[in-house]
Amino acid sequence: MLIMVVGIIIGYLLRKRKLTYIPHILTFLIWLLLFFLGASIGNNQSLMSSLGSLGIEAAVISIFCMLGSMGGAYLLMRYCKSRKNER
Amino acid sequence: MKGSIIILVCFLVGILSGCMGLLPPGIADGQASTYALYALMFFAGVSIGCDSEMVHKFLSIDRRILLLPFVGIAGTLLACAVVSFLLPLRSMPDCMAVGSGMAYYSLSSIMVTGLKGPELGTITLIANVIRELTVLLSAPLMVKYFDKLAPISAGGANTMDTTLPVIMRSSGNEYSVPAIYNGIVVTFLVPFIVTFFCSI
Repeated sequence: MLIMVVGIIIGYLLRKRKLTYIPHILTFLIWLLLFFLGASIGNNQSLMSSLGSLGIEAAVISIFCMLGSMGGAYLLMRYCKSRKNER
Repeated sequence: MKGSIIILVCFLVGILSGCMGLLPPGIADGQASTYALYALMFFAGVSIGCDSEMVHKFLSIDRRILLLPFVGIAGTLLACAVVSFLLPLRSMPDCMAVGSGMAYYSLSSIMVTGLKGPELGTITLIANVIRELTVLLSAPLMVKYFDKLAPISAGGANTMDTTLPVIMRSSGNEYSVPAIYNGIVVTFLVPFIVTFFCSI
């Protein structure tokens, strides 16, 4: 968290300049992060060996979890928007 | 779409090289991903800081967004209750214990392993890792079909760090504050709801 605050302050100080390369850095770092995450998952033998049997159940639960939470978020967003239009 | 495919390829190459033991221990044990995350957080901070319109845009977001973490948890648990009818081997509380990890896989998998045994613990780990990865890969699609709050509520506990940059990119910089707020509240609540569903 702290490192993010430092980033915000530096970004604020540099706001006069056009920091057009920041999105590119972010994109690259996301790629790098995913590669590293993949590496640590691939390196975890017990996890990889149980993927076949338990993985399908886990995937089904996971997909439903996300659909459920996104459904909630969608309804909340609609609620927020409808109240805004009333005013 | 092209971005997501590149991310997926990076991830798969990572898994393959991890599987085959090609990488030095510093990368394979997750140290490197911590540093990559720090760098990511720093630059996400920079892009928040230099976005001068962000404060204005943020203030125009409805206060009712404060409900987001609770709506996200409720939606997740409801969906888990539904999915338990599709999985004959798992009871409803089991499914809800897995789901209540809210993508906080490190903590929830350890807790479920301790309270319910290694099998359900492994399912918790995999399900919540999948949840985080799906948000990283498909946040733009989530925004397209379920509006801008969707990746935040799907991201669960880690919308304040790992998935934050992707959320900012697909929903907009002004959603960084709701995302951080959501992440903090969910992270705080996960231990309680996991314990609850493991004990009933």
